Amino acid sequence: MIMVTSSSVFDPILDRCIASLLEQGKPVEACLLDFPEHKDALEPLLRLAFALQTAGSLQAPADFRMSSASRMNNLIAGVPRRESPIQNRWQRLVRSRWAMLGRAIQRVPANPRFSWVYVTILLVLMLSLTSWGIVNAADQSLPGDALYPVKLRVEGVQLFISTTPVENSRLQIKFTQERFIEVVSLAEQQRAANFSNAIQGYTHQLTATMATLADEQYLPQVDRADLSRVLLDDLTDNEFRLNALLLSIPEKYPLPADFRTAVEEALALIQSSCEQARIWSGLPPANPQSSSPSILSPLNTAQATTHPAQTKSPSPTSTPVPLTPVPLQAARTPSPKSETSDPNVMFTDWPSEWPPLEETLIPAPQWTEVNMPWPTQIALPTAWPTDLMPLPTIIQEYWPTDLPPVEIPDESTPPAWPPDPDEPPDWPSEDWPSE
Amino acid sequence: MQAIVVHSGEPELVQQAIQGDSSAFGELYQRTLDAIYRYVYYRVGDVHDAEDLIEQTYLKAWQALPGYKAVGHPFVCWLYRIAQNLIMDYHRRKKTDAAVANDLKIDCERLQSNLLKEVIEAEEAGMLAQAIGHLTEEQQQIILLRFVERLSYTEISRILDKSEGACRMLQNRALMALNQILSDGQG
Repeated sequence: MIMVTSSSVFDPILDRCIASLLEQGKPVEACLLDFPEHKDALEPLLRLAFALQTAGSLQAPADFRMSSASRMNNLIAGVPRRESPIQNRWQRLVRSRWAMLGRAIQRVPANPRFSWVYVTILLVLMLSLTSWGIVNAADQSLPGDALYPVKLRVEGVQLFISTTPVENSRLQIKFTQERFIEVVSLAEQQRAANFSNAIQGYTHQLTATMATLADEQYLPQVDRADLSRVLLDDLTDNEFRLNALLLSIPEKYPLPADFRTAVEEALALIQSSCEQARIWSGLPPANPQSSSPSILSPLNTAQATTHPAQTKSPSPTSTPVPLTPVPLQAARTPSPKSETSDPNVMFTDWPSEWPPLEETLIPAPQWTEVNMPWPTQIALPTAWPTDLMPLPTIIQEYWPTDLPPVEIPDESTPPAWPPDPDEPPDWPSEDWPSE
Repeated sequence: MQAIVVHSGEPELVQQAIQGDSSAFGELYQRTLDAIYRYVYYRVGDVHDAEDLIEQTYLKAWQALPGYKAVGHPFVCWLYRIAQNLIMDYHRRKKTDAAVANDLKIDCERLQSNLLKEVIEAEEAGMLAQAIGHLTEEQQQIILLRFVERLSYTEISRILDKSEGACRMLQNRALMALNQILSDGQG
């Protein structure tokens, strides 16, 4: 019994000898001479391989070939062919590409060397999808949420990768507005615990934005003016909304102790930033009266103008003086009692020193009689005026003078009418001037 | 006077057969019959069963021709795969493993004296077929395709759906196993 043990050295030798035997027609003895140290193991295998290849000379018997051919013709004629499901050229192309991909995918798992490629690709896809989901969820987060630090990190990355100063400044302005939206959202959701942090974050971001815009070496003047206008619009809206928030919050939920101070500081910062933004954008300073009224501050008073009721009568030669509103009594402005130990209450007592409404009414204008004497009668002329300018004499000179005087018929006696209507009337032919 | 049909190379024949030309398919049948006959006969070990399987192979090939796509390999490779599937079904139906083992025990004694000298005759071919039948499915395929049909590793890898390196290893193992079967029969 010849025992053949395979090994990592023997297998390549055997394969090489078989290839020489089958493809090159090399004799078995020649292969054994190439590897004398393995002769005992190679010889039976090579002889068997030689014997096997001679079995390839076996052919189908002639009778079988002829009989089977006729049977095949009959079978082919009787059995319908399977129609190809691919009739369209485009479908064939698509299907062939998918088939290639399918075969490629099927073959790879058989080779463990390439499995790590698919694992790596799968991990990368999973990490990408997870990161995208986390970033989207963090975008809606508020101070105090678990993903809020992610949101701040993402904003930091955006600032870091910004390529131009203008882009960086725009991001700063955008983030400032984002901080304000967080403040409003916390108020609407009645989350008082994080309110102070949100206000503080807003003031810090606004300060950073103003510092960025103030850097003359960093930002051109033209861009600073444009960006300042954008910031001014946002700050104006923020101031108004923050003031409105102060009025509505006490009724909705309790406030922290330092809430009011933080809001007032934010309002002061907003106002100063607005003034600076106006200067940068080239706009005129805001009129203290035209700015958004601060509800908490006392109402402004204006100097009263001269009231038209002081005059007795309006002169027809002069236009009436328009009325101006009577100012309220400034000295009567009440001050609320804010001294209270309870931080949850803003006012302890509503002021009751308001003046009565009657004193604040604007008096109606008082007109007096006019002293101007209007004419009561107009005398009509009885005679034609004689002092008119005479007619021109030149006309009188060309008036014919030889005309007979016009006889004014006597109206008392009607003229004699011929009794015969067919008879023409008598013409005064004798007085008619001859030619 | 019988009309003479002139056929071109194998790719053209295949295209004509795909389009429904039965004479082209007949030409392909004549060209590949010997290879399929040897393959099926050595795998099955019985002449009658082998002939039936051969006819079924070509019949199925004719039916599936519209979906055949030539990718650069010989047409016979596709026939080998069809025949392989039919042989697997045949073995499952017949369950001839035990029968082959019993016949092998008797024939090995005869094979021992005639293996190295005369294997071309039908009787030795039958014994060789029975010896090959004792191998595993993959070993039978590699022995027949590599040594009997002398196909390349590329063609064998496509038929067996394995890599060329795996086919090389399988070839060595199959040859050693066949030699071991013959040696055990002698011993």
